[in-house]
Amino acid sequence: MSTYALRRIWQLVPVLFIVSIAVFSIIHLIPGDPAQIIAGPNATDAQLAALRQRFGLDQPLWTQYFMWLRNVLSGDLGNSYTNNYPIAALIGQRIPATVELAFAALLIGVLISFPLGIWAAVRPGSFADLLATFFSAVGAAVPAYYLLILLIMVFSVQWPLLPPSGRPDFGEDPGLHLRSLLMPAITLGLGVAAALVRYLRTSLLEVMNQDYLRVAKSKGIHARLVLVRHALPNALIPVITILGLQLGELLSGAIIIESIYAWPGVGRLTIQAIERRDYLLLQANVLFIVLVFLVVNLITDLAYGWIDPRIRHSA
Amino acid sequence: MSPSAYARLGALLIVVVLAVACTAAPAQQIATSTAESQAAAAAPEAASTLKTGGTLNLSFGDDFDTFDPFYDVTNGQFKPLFFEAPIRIAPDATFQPWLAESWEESADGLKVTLHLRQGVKFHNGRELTADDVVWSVDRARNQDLGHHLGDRFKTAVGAKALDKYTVEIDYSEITHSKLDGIARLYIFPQEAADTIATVPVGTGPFKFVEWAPGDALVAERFADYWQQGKPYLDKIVIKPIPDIQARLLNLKASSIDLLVGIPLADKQIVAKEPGIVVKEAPVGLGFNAFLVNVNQPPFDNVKVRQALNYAVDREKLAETAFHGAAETTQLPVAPTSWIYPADLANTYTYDPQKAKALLAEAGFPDGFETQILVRGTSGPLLDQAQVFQQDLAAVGIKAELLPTELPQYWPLLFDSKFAIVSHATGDSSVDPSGIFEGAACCRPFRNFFGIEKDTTWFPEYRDTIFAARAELDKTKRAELYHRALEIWQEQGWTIPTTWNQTSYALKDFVKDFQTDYEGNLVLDGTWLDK
Repeated sequence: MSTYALRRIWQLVPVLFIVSIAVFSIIHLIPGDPAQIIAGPNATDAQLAALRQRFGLDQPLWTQYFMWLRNVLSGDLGNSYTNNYPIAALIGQRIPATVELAFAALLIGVLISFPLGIWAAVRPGSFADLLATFFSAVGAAVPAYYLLILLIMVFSVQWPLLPPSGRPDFGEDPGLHLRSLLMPAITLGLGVAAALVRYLRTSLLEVMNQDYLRVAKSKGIHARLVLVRHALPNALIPVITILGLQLGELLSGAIIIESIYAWPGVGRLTIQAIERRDYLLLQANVLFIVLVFLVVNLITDLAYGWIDPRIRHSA
Repeated sequence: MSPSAYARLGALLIVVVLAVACTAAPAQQIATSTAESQAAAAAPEAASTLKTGGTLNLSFGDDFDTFDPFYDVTNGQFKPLFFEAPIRIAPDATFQPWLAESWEESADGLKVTLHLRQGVKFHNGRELTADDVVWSVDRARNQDLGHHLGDRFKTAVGAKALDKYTVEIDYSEITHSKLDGIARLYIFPQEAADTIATVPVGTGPFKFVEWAPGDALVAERFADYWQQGKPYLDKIVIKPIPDIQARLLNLKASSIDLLVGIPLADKQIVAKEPGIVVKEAPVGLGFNAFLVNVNQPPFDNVKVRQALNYAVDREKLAETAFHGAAETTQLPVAPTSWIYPADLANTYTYDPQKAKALLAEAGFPDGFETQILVRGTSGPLLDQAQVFQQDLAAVGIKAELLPTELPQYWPLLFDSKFAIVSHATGDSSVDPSGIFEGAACCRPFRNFFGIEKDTTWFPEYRDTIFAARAELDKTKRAELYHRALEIWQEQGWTIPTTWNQTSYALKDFVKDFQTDYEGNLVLDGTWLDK
């Protein structure tokens, strides 16, 4: 298992290198000039040239790439064009907010989807099944930004129970911090739950019709034991895949939710970098997002082996 | 509880949430309660006395890009909280002594002497002296930094300290906008230059505490502020909330007390909210317009440009694109300006027949096809382009709209790669030379048409403006600018539509909220009546 894990980690290196070239090229292909954006409409040619020189944008593209790569490998992500803030610090400040929101949303998603999905699968055609299907359809159809605005209107404006925005410091007021987390986490969590319920229900229904489960039931094993020990582990493989993808997306930053709720996460930082053509910041952000996806994928693959020993052996 | 009971409970909760949401914004109910609460608040407000302390929470929308006051970037209106200039421009467009107690201009117009206030301290505890102003002028003149003061100080040849509190700034030629430049010369200690982009240090009424990018900027009362007793607020927290609807909900939920910039479509609704007051910056600081590329056929024909001017229905445009919340204009100068030409205010009345006739004279009786580049992909500049598109269709011109994201938009504009552009332009200088030499809509050089490289364009316009630049007599200058505006209208390459005004929404307990002439926040006298 550890050999497999090490091999997978080693494979990340060439992938990251190729991704770094792709990220750099694509970002520089987007039309727009950071110097022009900073200097504004009244800038003179001399002012623009001075800014381009300061950012190193007057160098050939391949020189810019290798300078950037060299700095990244030595641990220096550079400074933001717009405010000269160290990029590592900028991203570092945002990661806790994004990770916290992602895991809170995932937790809510799992807490809702697992009972509902299992309940629907064990009683196909029942009210529970209908509710799960309805929830799954509504959860997928209602846009997150609409749901969050709705929640803010109800729980912040109409009934002032929860803060309408922001992420207060946990150390100063833990209660307020957790209350602030609630609405964005529920919004994202419901979306996660909607996807998971559908997959869990379908996967479990498929497994429940397998012969080995009928044999287990005919041997007199308790239905709950059959479900937990035999059906669920086999049904979880596709669900884990979806869970991994959802976690990857959440950790990349929930851009819209972060913007509406003023949640200081990585997603908003990415949008700002795009708007301002802050190349170094954008490159670092995209690289971070890619890295998150690769790591989550790796963990997902390792989780397969943990759940299903057959996968571990074949690996 | 059985599973089915859970399901029923869940369904009930969903129904309750949706029901409450549907009743969350009953317009009639809110309108009634607004009237009541405002009437109730009116009496104690008149009798209320100034209260000190408290925290003002506000939002501009976006986060800060930089705190360097020499750059005009996102949220530039924050500057007077931390920084001050030797002179301030009052909302009525007069120059006020600020860090300088007084100043003199030499008779030849080539020199300004500033007499600084004594005992003014920076937030780092050091006293402001003439050396700081000299250093700031040198930095303002440094074109290599790419900041926005370069243009305003391009004729300044240097500054020298005559004594600890007296500074002389010298100019190479007559510069009528000297005081405009000095009013934007925000002084900060040179020892803070390396970190000024992220840590603002000035002499302003509020002192920087912390900035968590994407989260909040926190400032506190500067105890050693030179205006004794001020500011009245203890703390200011600026929260970036990018989504406008979320921002409005935060105001309603009292998470923020002051909101800078309300979309025109929401202005009237917000004004009806209980406990919320809407204020506006004065007109004249900038305007919305269509710019026509004089170098691109058929717009190199003056008759075509004039036809476009007659084709635009400004009243309809103000009513629809600007939701009835904008004033129309045909001129780039405000009615309050001393050069305002009342006789030119209605040169182009809406007249589609005349537009058609001019197009026929220009050789386009059946119109033509063109494109309108739009600054941004949403908002009033797109809306006004859509209305103009209909106006143009009425005179036979088929226009395609090209809404463009800002980073892509600027290069297209500066490389003259457009036919017509829907743009916001103007200049906020008190001296009228600003509009003719600072704004891309109106300057005869370095504008969007590459005219710097082709000096044959509108030579009379250019010569008139240069003559006004060299003239010291105010009456003669007014005559020259009047002639310049006549040429400007006749040539018709800029089609102004409406004045651009920033709106502010604030809680009714926020008292004495002020902005300066440029719309910057002046909060040293603001207090909270709660």
